[in-house]
Amino acid sequence: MLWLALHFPMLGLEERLGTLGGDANEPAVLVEDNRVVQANEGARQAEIALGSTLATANSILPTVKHFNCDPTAEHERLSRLGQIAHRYTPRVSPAPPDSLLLEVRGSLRLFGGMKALADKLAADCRRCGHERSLAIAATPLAALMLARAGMGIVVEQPVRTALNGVSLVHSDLPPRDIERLANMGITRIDELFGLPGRELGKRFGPALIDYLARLTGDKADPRAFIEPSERFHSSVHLLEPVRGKDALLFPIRRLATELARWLARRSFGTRRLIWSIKPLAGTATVLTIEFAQPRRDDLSFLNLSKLKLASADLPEEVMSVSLRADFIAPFTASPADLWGVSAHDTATNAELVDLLAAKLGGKAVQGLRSVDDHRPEHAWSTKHPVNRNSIRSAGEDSGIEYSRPMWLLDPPEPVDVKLYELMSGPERIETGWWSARHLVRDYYVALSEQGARCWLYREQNENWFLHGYFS
Amino acid sequence: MSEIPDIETRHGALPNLWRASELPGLRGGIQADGIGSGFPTLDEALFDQGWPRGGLVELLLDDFGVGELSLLGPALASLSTTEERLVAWIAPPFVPYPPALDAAGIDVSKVLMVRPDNHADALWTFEQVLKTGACSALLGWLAERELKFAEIRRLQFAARQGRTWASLFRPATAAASASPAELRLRLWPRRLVSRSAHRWGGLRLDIVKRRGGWPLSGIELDFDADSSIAPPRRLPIPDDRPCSG
Repeated sequence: MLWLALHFPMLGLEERLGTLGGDANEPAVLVEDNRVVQANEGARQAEIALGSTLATANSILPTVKHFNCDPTAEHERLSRLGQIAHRYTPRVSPAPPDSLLLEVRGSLRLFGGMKALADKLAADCRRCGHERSLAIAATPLAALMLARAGMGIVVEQPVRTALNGVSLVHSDLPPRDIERLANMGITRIDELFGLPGRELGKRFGPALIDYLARLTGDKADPRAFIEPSERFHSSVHLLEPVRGKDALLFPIRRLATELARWLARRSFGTRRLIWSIKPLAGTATVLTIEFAQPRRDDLSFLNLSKLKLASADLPEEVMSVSLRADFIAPFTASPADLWGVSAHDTATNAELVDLLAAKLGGKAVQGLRSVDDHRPEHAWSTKHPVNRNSIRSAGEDSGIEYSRPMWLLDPPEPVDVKLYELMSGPERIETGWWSARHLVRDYYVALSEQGARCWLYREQNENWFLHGYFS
Repeated sequence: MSEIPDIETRHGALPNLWRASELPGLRGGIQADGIGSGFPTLDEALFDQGWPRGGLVELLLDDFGVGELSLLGPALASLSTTEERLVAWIAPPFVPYPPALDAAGIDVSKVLMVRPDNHADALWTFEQVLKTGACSALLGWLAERELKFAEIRRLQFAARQGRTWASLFRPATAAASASPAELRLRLWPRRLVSRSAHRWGGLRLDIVKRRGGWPLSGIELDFDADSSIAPPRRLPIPDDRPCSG
């Protein structure tokens, strides 16, 4: 086992800055119980000390921004980072409040060694806007301690050697113990290794002994690993604002490919893509693309996104593009023949529906179904065009004895009955008394002056309406 | 010379190539493979012995409700029940009423209703539906004022390419101008001349243009008498209020 610890010293502050919006270069501090717990570069340069009160910080630097600590948001951000780290190893374990542990022994070969892997991870963290320090060691606790100490050790060496000279402040010991040890003149972890275990146990209790054993690897230290997320979320932050839709295709292609790989690894498909295109300031444009069936090929993601993009109003200058995918479902590939060509070169129903919906919007593409209701305008409804949850199939008895017109006017149109020749009727429809839309109508089949067969009705108040054409 | 594929194979590869042997009587071995319209009189007059399986049909009519849907009904019923492919309705003027479609034997679950916002989108939809071949039939309404000759030609081409039976509904005035559609029908409502006949559904149609034949006028079609509708008789306009139950 080889453990890589990723420590984010400014996680809370960076999370707040990222969520609430703010310039990372301006001095800012994170405050908990009216005390400064994290300070960024600008604040540190102004010599605001950790642990000072907010009033002190303000008197040193009146322009300093402050954020209140939000442990929940911080925890969420940590698990998001865990999901990102998940691409490097299946064994990622969170070490709250501000660190991640990755077991990387099995990934070294794939990613080209410890140094290359550490560089990749560091680059990922930088892209997410986090300061980080990382270290590699044979036990999780040692890696954590080295990362906190900012030693940046990425070569393999025995734990005791690696920990030589590291201050106890970076350990996971309770502050009370650290203080007592300091009073005894012990401030470094290697000094602690030199002391006889039994006597230490007597004075500090078994917890300390247990910690030391796990730190040095004398005792197993099992960890719980996080599960991969069921959702995909990724963004590209552009270094310079982008104008125009063509230029956006590059980040979009990158994200589409990333999603396709993510899905392929899990053998999943997605039924919805949500693009969010953000300007520097202001609200993001959100484009949603839904699929009739789960898909996972980047080409169709890209093509349907292009269609959607063509008809969308985008911010003038785009700073970041992000892609979310949900409704993740197991993907069943459609069978192709030996030469990789499907039997017919015709698109499937679902593909056509997706294509039309991407260009015209989901509301413009619908299916129909019959509904059992005596009120003519409620005897039908729209549905999703591919889902085959038809209540009745064709040819079954619809239960209606009278003939119904092929065309229905929705809503009915008021007409002058003198222009029509009544041919048959009336058919009395009186129903819906239980709802607000109670109707009493007499329906007639009538012939218009042009010779069209019409479906008219008369309401109780003598008004006539055209409700359909027998076409 | 045996390596040259036989003429029928090549014909299959080039569906847009018209050959003189396609003239009626010179059909050679090619079987007529149209979609039976359900009206023998009409089938006889059509080149494919029915609606074309891949081609654009123009239906020219003045008003709604002359029987344009009943004319297509039997063919739509057979396509929607035998094929998995959808039947697209692009920008229909009204709602195709599911209970009536049910009654006509048309599988309502195969209906794909598309309502594009403008002419350009409607044309695009038309062409995509035809080109992808994902629908067995298409019924479409386009903005006549913006419709151009070249656009109809593209649709005719796409319909052949995707092997889709496309029906384009146009106002009757369009009959005067030329069109690349392979079949053009002018529909007339059939006034009830003889009231004694116990059927009142039907329409009259003129063939304005067809493959392999001259224009033909005065084809009369009867829709099956609907037993639920009483034999026609003129009713007095009721002047009493409907009694409230």
